[in-house]
Order: sequence, then C-alpha cells, then structure tokens
Amino acid sequence: MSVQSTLDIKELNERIRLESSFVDIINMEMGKVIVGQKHLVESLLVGLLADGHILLEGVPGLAKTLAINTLANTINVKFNRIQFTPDLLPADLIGTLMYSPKSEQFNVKKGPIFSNFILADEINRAPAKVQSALLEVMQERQVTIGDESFKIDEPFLVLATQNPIEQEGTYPLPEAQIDRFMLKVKIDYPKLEEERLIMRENLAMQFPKVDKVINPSDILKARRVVREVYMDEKIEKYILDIVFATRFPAQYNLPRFEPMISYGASPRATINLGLASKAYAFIKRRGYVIPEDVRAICHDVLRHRIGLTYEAEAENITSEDIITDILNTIEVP
Amino acid sequence: MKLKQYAFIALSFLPLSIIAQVEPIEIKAALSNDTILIGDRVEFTIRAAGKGKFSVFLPELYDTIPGGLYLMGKPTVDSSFKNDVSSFTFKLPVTAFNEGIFSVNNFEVLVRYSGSIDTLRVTSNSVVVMLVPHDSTLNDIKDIKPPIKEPVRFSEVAPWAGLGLLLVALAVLLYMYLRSRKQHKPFLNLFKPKDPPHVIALRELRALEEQKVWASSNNKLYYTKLIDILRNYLEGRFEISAPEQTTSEILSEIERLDFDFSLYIDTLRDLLYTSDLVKFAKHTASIEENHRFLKFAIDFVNGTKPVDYSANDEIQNLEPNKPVKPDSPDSLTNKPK
Repeated sequence: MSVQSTLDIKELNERIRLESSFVDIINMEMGKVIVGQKHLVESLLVGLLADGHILLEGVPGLAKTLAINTLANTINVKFNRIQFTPDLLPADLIGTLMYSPKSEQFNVKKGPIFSNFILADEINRAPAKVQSALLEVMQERQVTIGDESFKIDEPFLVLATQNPIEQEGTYPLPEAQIDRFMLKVKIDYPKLEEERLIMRENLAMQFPKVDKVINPSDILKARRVVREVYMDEKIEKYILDIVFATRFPAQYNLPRFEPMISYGASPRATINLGLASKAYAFIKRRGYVIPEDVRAICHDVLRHRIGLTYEAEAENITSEDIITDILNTIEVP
Repeated sequence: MKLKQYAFIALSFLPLSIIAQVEPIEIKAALSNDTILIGDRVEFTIRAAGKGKFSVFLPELYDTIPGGLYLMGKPTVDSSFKNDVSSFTFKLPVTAFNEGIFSVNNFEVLVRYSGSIDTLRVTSNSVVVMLVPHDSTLNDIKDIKPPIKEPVRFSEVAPWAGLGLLLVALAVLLYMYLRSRKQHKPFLNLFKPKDPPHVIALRELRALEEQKVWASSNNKLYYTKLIDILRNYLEGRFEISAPEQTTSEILSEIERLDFDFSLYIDTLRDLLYTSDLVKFAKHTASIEENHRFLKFAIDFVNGTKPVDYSANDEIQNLEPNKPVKPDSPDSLTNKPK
C-alpha cells in the first residue's frame, strides 16, 4: 500500500514536472513586461490554476492592469477589460435584448462578460447592482438574458482591481461578495533597482510584447492536475487549524484577538486555502503540498475574509497582523 | 424637679391695714383615690378656706413630696374670694413606683395674713399602691422572636474557605518538606531547574533510538518525532521559533544566526527535506537512512550545545566549541560510562 502510494506520488511528481512546464514559460513572458512583482505574478498563476478569481489592491501605477493584460496576452484566450464607473448598468456588463426592426425580433446582444479573462478595473467604482451582477456570474458561471441562459466559456477568470486610497464616490464591496474572490492580492511598490529598470525602459520607449504561449485547453488540463496534487492529512489539519484560529483565537493561544475579530474565515476560505496551496505546489513543480505552500498563499486567501471590530481598528490591528500572528503561533506539522 | 416658679401663690384682695381680725382657716388635704396600680396617677388636693383675706402658697417642690409619692406635673391652683370668704384649692398630680401604702404626711403649706406667715402641716388619707395583676387571659403569650436567619453568602464564606485552603496547602507543603528532608531528596520538583534544551533533546533522541522507531515501517511517526525534537531544541537553544516554522524558514533562520553550522547545514537540509517528503509525500526512507539521520541529530545537538555543558554531558565529552563531525564513530555509539 505504502509502496504503491509512493509510486503514485512519484508518478504525480513526474506528471506535474511535465504539465507545469508552461509555468516557466508564462513567467518568462511576463518577466519581459512586468519588472519585479514576483508575488503578483505567482498569485495570478495560482488563481488561474486553482480556478479562483482574484482581487488586486494597490495604489495607482503599480502595474495591476498591465500584469493582468500581460497574463491574458500570454494565453490564447479572449480577454475583455471593463472599466467600472458609477453610471455602469448590469446590462452594460452581461448584455441585453435588442429589438431588430428588420427581423421584428429581439436578439441577444452579449456583453463584455462573455470572455475568458475579465479585467474588472476599479470594481468599487460601480454601484452595488453592477457588482452584484458580476459576482453572480463569477459564482454561477452563467448569464441569463431574457429567458435564455448562457454558459460562460472556460477558463473563466475575473481579475478585479480596486484602489484603496480613493474612497470618494466608491461603493465598497460587501463582505459576502468579496468572499467570492479566491485571492485578494496586495501589491506593494517595486524595489529601487526594479524601479530604475522601469524608468529606463519607459524613457527608452522600450515596451516588449509578449507571445501567446499557451492554449486554454492546457490551462484546463493543468487545473485537473492541480486537483490531483497530494495533500496529506497533516496539511489538512494545518489548514483547518489556521482557519479555525481566525474563528476561535482563544482556543489557539491567541486570546488577545478574541475581541478584535468580528467574524472569522468561512468554509469557502478553507476550500480555497486548500486549492490555492495545491496550485502553489503545482507552480513549484511538486506533486504534494508542504506547509510552505500553505503559508505562502495564506495571506492572500484570508486577508479579505476576516472581519475586524472597531477595537481592532482603534488599535491599528489589521487582518494581516492577525494572519501573521496565527501563522507564527500554530505549530507547523 | 424644681418647681419654685410655680410654687408661690399669693393673693391679696385688700390692703393689709384693713384686716382687723383673723378668723380660723380650715385646711384639708386628700388623695383622690385610695387604691391605684403602680405608676397610676392620683391627685393630691389641698383645700384652704377661711373668713377674711389671706393668701396661701406652697413651698418649693421637688420630685417627691413628703410620704414618698412622686410629683408628676405642675401644681394647679384655684382661688376665690366670695362673701368675705377666701378659698384656695391646690391640685398636685402624684404617683408611686413601689408597691405599698402611701400617704402625704406633714406637707407644709404657708399662710400669710396680717403681714405674718404661718406654716401649717397637713396629712392626707392613705393610698394603696398595688402591682399590676397578671392577666390570666393572655395564655398565648409568645417569646421574643429570635433574629431572622439569613442564608450564608459566598462572599462571607470565601475568605474563610480561602484561609482554610491556604492552611491545608501550607500543611501539605510542610509535610512534603519534612518528608523530602528525611529522605534527602529535593523539596519540590517545581523548584527544580529545567533541563537545558540539549539535555532534553539528547534524552528524547536516546528514547527514540531505544524504542527502535527508526527501524519500524512507520516512517511518518519517526520523522515527525525526530523533527519535533530538533525543532524544540533549536527553539530552546537558539531562541528561534522553529516549531512554528517551515523547513525553508528554519534553514534561512539558521543561516542568519551567529554560529558556525558549516559542518551540519547540508545534512540538516537533507534531513528536513527528507522529513517533508516522508510526512507530506508518502516517501519511504530506508532504515539505514533513518539511522543515519538519528545519528546526525545526536551529533548536531552535541556539536551545537553551549560550551559550559560540554564537559559534563551525559552523552559524550566534547571539547568546548568544537563541533563533532557528523560521521565520527563516537557520535551515536558513545554511550555514557
């Protein structure tokens, strides 16, 4: 039994080595355009492989849109960018029925959501009804226009951006809807050397183009392999401990967080943390998950799923701090 | 009680020169009742009447009057002069607080007429003062109610209970102390200094070796125990939170430490990665490999323990700060003599 299992893992490792070869190619292509931002690129790949939508947050000018554009360009998929504005309507997103005087019939006019990759730029600028329409498509993967329902083509990935500093005229995403994003990736400023390179390239008007190096079928195939990545019981317990620590911190020797957390991570967080860890192991060319994979992706999966109380805000405690402390407290298997 | 202000009564109806002759004055004194209960009020009346004009007044009166009766209030006086007859009536409320027969004897009354004053003494009838009789109808008389019993509250008991527990604890401690003294053993394990991390680690590694877990097929259990021992040792010895860190985090943390790990780092890395494979990827390591890592773990602990402990260690004697080579023959087999 044990020998058989070991053989399975070895075989899986081999398969993953073969299947994940495109990861390096995508990384290479993205590296042509995106300087630095390694974590961002990794997170995009995790979302792509784990079939999870991503919310990117960062101040303007950090190449959020460029990164998503570049990723879409490396894959031979249909890509649409939707700029969310306060006057956007759900029909502008999902489409509508148009009357054709010629045929005297209503025809379906599909909206930009019918695409493989959607860049929902500044998602918090649109009112709740538009956000709701988008998030419904994200969850259901189908759109109903009139009496007809349409399946969205796979792979379907929504990459939304939101700007944390401009609060004027924005509609913050409700907690229930933000939970539908598998990852919330925070983007930080590039390092000094990276920024020097960005400046030089821009001043020299050198804007490298990326090639389409992978097909949607490869992504779908890779997604199936990702789900096969082996996760030991010890890792499962580790994930559960982390998630439960966000709900009952006192039970995990973190009583100081008890009054600071209004609600902990949902079961969807547990599922997503497991799946994202497998995807991370995949991009690291491994057929099994190790605690490092969980820790590497934990902040992105949990940061938007922990509700903070006023007490936490008063003490300047962020969900990042809570996750970091949880990771530093729970014993690694 | 001094009743001077009320005692003097003077009446003068005509100038003294008019009084030519004095008729006899009749004075009578009487108590209003002949039988009273203790404390009951009885009226002592003095009546004086006679022809002509004269005045009668009482001497200074205090709490009691002659005869043992107690004065209860102010005396009142009623006087009149009619048909050439003067009359005075004094009423004094009195009582007795003792059982017996009382009468007013030789009570002095002052009479003034024709510019001279005479003292007259009067005696009253007797009054019998009796005790209050027992009321035989009050058969259901009840005793005074005792104080109402309130339930005992915890706050009242707690200090005493605490004190009791403290005394018990002190008694137990005293007993333990005396027993340990008799047996020449350390008093309390609580006060015993904790073993240094390397002693704990070596003890646990020795136990792991003796239990032959390394030779069993349960690789996962063996590597979990082995890595846990090393993680706890690293935490205790170098103050790095190794139990909460992953393999790569431990390795990078070790590289940052100001300690020469050059002899161990490669094998340690190998051990940590192998344990990850065993624990998380169903990898099966050979018995030789397991034994080699156990041997290495002991060498690692011996070679990285603090200098002060090198001379007296139970596993082997080492020169200060001189790491033991992982493959040295005395590393595992060198048992305490």
